[in-house]
Amino acid sequence: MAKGTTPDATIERRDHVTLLAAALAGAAVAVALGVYGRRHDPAGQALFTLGFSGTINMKAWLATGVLALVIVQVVLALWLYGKLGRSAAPEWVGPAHRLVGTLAFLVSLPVAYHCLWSLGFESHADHARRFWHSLFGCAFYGVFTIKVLAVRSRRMPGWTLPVVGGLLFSLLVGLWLTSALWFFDKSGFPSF
Amino acid sequence: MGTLVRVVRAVQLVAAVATAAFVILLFTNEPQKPAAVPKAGPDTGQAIFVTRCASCHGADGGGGFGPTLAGVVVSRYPNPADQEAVVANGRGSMPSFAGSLTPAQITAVVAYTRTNLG
Repeated sequence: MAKGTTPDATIERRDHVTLLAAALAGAAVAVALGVYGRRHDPAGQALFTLGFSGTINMKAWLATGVLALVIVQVVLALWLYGKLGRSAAPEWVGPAHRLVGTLAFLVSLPVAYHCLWSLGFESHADHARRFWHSLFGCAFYGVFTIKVLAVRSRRMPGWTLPVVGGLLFSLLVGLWLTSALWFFDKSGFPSF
Repeated sequence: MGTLVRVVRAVQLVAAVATAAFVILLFTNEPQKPAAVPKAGPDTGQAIFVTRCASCHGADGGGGFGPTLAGVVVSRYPNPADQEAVVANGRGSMPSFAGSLTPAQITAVVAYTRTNLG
């Protein structure tokens, strides 16, 4: 410990360094996905459609499933943080929050795969919907990386998880609005 | 409670394996080559379908990147003009073909999908 530095200040600085390292890791993931999507020649094909009539239909429905799971996860998080009433959350809420979040991530993988492999990264801002969707998608997995690291680490500021979780939820809503909602609007609902 | 924790760990393990597969497939999965153009004339519905539509809707219209056409297109579009409008103007993620196909070619490819696939 440096002379004149309190233990609290040292811990605070350590927590911020850990957060910075996690943010750098998240940024690396987001940039790596963007670079892959930009450099990869879009296949324009489907690896699988899981019984849906087309890849876009599958992506729209899986993205909707991810959004539904994440809404459940947000509610469970609010319960964990004591925002849903006076009583403390039951013991099972924590594991259930992790389970729902992991399932949401799992369901998102086929969507992300077909975005990256089949369609690529839209770098022209003229195609606003695709451009923002591409940015949101890369940022989503970057922020997801930060959240996973924050959950695993006990050396981050206390506000990290709620802030990163809120950002993750916002990005997912942006992703859904620029893809699934657009698809259902253009192609009709339910368009399986 | 213990069961739930075990389920969480199992699903996290599956997620880790799926993430690894995700990354590996991104770099190793080679796209299929497009089907060869048939010897029929370039303006036939079949030739247009093979060169312009099959990459998304599948060589047999069974779907793929785009939705299935085989067996459903006639019931979905009882009026061929509605289907021709979709081909001409695009819909959802499907691009417009009005600039790259003539009205006669659009009519031909729509007729092909309805008689041979629909």
